[in-house]
Amino acid sequence: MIFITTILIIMALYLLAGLVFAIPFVIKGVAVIDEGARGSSWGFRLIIIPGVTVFWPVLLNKWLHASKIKRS
Amino acid sequence: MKPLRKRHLQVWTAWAILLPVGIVLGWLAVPYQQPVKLLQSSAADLLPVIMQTKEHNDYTVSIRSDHKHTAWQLEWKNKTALTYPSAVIYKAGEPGNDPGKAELIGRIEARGDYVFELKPGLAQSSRLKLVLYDFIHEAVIDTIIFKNPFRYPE
Amino acid sequence: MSASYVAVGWNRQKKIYDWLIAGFCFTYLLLFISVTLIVNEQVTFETLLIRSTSTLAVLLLHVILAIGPLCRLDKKFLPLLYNRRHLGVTMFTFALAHGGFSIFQFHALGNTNPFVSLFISNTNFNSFAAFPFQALGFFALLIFFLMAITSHDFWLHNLSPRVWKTLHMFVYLAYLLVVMHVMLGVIQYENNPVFVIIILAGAVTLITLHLLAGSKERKLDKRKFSLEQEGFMYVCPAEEIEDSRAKIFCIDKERIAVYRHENKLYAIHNVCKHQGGPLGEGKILDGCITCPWHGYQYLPHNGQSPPPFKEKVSTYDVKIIDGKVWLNPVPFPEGTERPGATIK
Repeated sequence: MIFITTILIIMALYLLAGLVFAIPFVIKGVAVIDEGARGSSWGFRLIIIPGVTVFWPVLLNKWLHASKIKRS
Repeated sequence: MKPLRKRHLQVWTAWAILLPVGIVLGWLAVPYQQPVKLLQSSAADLLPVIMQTKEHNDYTVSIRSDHKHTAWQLEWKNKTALTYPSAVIYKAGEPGNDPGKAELIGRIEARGDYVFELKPGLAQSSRLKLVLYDFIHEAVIDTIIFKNPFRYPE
Repeated sequence: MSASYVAVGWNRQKKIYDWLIAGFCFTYLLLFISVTLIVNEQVTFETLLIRSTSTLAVLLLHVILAIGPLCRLDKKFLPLLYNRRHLGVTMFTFALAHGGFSIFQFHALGNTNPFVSLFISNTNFNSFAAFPFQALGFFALLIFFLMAITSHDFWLHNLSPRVWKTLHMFVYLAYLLVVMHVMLGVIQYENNPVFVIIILAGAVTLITLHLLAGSKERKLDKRKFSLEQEGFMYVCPAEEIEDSRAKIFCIDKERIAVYRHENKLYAIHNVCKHQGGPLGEGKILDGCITCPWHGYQYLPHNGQSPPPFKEKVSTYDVKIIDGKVWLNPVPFPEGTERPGATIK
């Protein structure tokens, strides 16, 4: 029981972090990592939020890379 | 062949064996005993005479009979929505109430009224002990005891 | 395509498709609920919800899994493939409703957290008949969830097509889990063998379709081309290729689609740039080769997507001698214009 509860709490924290990350990502980050998202609709930005919440480490990594390239 | 479609074919070749085996094994595993579902309340008419009633905060349980006392029913009325969605009623084997050895009477859900037929053989017994058992969480919820349920109190 | 993303890429065809899905689901639920109410008056509202949504989701899952092989066996089914992902998201929605109602019904009313209860209320992992079938359903739902949230093209680009395809291949595992969820779950409480027969029939149908489609392709790929002249291979008589359609030839492990358009033949690489869809299984719409998977388009004579899109595929040389089609399997760089071959 403690084992499963721990896993569930870790999952919840991971998803919560993803949700927090999703806000700046759909506002700004998405257009940095994918040119197809530049000038895209709000509908699109909302529809990717569930995915961002789950796959946020991949996107964060891409975002960091993209801004590094921009700076250099 | 493209690697992706090759992978599809490989998966389905494996599934061609796994799926039928799983389905057949699952079928064979169906317990031989009459499943619980069939012991749900019958739509039978309520018998007219109430022999005994036990009140509980959440439900009312009564033993009913006809005027000649040849048939018996257990009536279960939920007053509020129960906090367990589905439970079964056993007649406990004496002594102890190990549900595995007890006789199944019926299944109730969180809401609604239920009527279950009681076997005429029961009429001889002087005591009817019912166990309300939550089979999902494997816990006894309540035990209800009727004394001399098949005779009018003297 | 390469223009800006939109939330849902609706066009007229996709709207018709979606209305048909909605109509079908509504009719199914209505029928299921009314038939159940007639047959079993005692049924509770919760049970109705749980059973109607689950059976609908299982039905849709079978349709979804059948579409792929059906299209490879017969092009008539291609319209079904066009918008399969909307069907997938619909299926997930019903599966989620089923899972949600079930967790609420069976686990939420106690004092344990419903998700903890889901896993600890039954721990008979060493038993087959009493196996915690709810966990099987939960993991299948998790796979469907990951697929549904990544169904937008954005995810294909940003998770890379390889990762995306691999993730979506997990649908087969999910199907296996669903079958066992049904077999070890509701079937264990049912006396009627008709449910087992339905599940078995569904599985046998899907297995047959997939194996048939796979072996058909294997045959196509094993065909040897022996007649060679100056780098060109003889592939087929010219009249075998229907107008606005293609035939696919596999030479040196590369698939090439030879299209017929306005009495000329053009050859392009068979693999769509979007998701690797089989271009040769599509047709020409508005003068463009249109991928059967998601409608990406390419011009037959140069393999380029019409502006503003930027996708390009390789082109090949093709010629006709005495009504016979000869194909040169050496590709030109992506987007190179080729003259094609006129059919006399």
